[in-house]
Amino acid sequence: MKAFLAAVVVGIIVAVGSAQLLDSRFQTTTPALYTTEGARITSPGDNLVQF
Amino acid sequence: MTRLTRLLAIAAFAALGAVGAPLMPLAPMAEAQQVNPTAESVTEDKLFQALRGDQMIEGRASIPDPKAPGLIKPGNKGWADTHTGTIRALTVWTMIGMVALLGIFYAYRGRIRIDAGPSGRTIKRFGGVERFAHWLMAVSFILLALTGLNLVLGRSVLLPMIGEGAFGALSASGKIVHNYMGWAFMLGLALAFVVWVGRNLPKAHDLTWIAMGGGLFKKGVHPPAGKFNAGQKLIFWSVVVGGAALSFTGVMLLFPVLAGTQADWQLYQLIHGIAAALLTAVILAHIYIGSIGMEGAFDAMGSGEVDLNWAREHHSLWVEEVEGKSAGSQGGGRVAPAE
Ligand code: HEM
Repeated sequence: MKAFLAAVVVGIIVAVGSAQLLDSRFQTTTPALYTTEGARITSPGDNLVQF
Repeated sequence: MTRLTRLLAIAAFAALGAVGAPLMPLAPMAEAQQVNPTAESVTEDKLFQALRGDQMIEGRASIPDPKAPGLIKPGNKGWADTHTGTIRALTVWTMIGMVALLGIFYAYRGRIRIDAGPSGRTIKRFGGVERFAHWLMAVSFILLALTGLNLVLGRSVLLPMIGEGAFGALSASGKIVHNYMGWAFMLGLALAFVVWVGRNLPKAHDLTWIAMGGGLFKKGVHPPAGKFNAGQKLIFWSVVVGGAALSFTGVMLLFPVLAGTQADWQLYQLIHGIAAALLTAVILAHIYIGSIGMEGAFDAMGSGEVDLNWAREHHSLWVEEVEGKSAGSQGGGRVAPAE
């Protein structure tokens, strides 16, 4: 049980940690990356079905 | 003016008219080309016409993404069919097939019992690090499998059941979970590989185990096996190879710029989809045999201690090895009475 709970906690920490690291240093959203002075791309929002 | 010259004048005027008529609209167009930058842009009608065909449609885009102008390529259409047709069918049928097989196996064999009955004494099977690695890999894999399955089947299965709003919210958060849980899975996979690879190398007695069907189909049949039997070694290597393939292609899908062009993305997505479907089917069988399918098996990953009779029946060579070692170290205390 202890090993299982430790795995759940570490799993969450690794996922949240990698999200922070990737978002802050390695990833940019398409709208942010490809928007230029001449072309603005709007964000599609969060709901991928209704937008 | 004579009648003849009047006739000639009319004819010349008419001829000029006939030639001039089609020229007339050209003049303003040539002029417009200099002032109207969108004169040559695609009309909606033309675009829809072209989209219906199977020709390549490429243009210019004003954003600095070199791949953006490739709107439709014939290969992409074929790919879309493979993705929504072949991969989806493969996923559905491997899942249904495995669940059906396990159902048939359960109906035929029932729960595999400890033939000699529980001994009341336990033996240490997996330490904390091994169980931690297993559960890190298992928890993350199950989340990845569920959120991945939603990408393949969610629209046709879940959307009609829970509606657009709930499905949209669920899929958007599922995508985030899928992208980032992948890293926890990779860590668990690497750990499990390190702690178990030495015990999963093929041995001669694995062939006997396979020839006897692992003793799975008949009560009282127990081929000799080390810490892991041949079936488990197959599961281990499927997880390692399938997990590595999923990890590599997954990272490529997360970073498409590293991966290359559309053709590369399609290849990676294809491998990702096929490996996911096959490995999930293998894992369904694994979860079955590790829980309801076999009495005493779950304890190995639960408390880490298994019943001695269970161990003697399923991993006889390993028990001899452990008992030999603990006898060598004067009782060593590795086999203990159950509480
Ligand atoms: C609720 C889900 C799961 C349960 C109940 C479960 C149960 C078990 C048990 C009881 C063992 C030890 C077998 C023994 O003592 O010989 C084991 C081993 C193992 N598990 Fe799991 N497991 C689960 C999910 C997973 C997942 C999702 C993966 C991989 C993606 C995985 C990979 C492995 C591997 C590689 C081993 C070692 C080789 C083997 O025993 O087949 N397990 N599991």
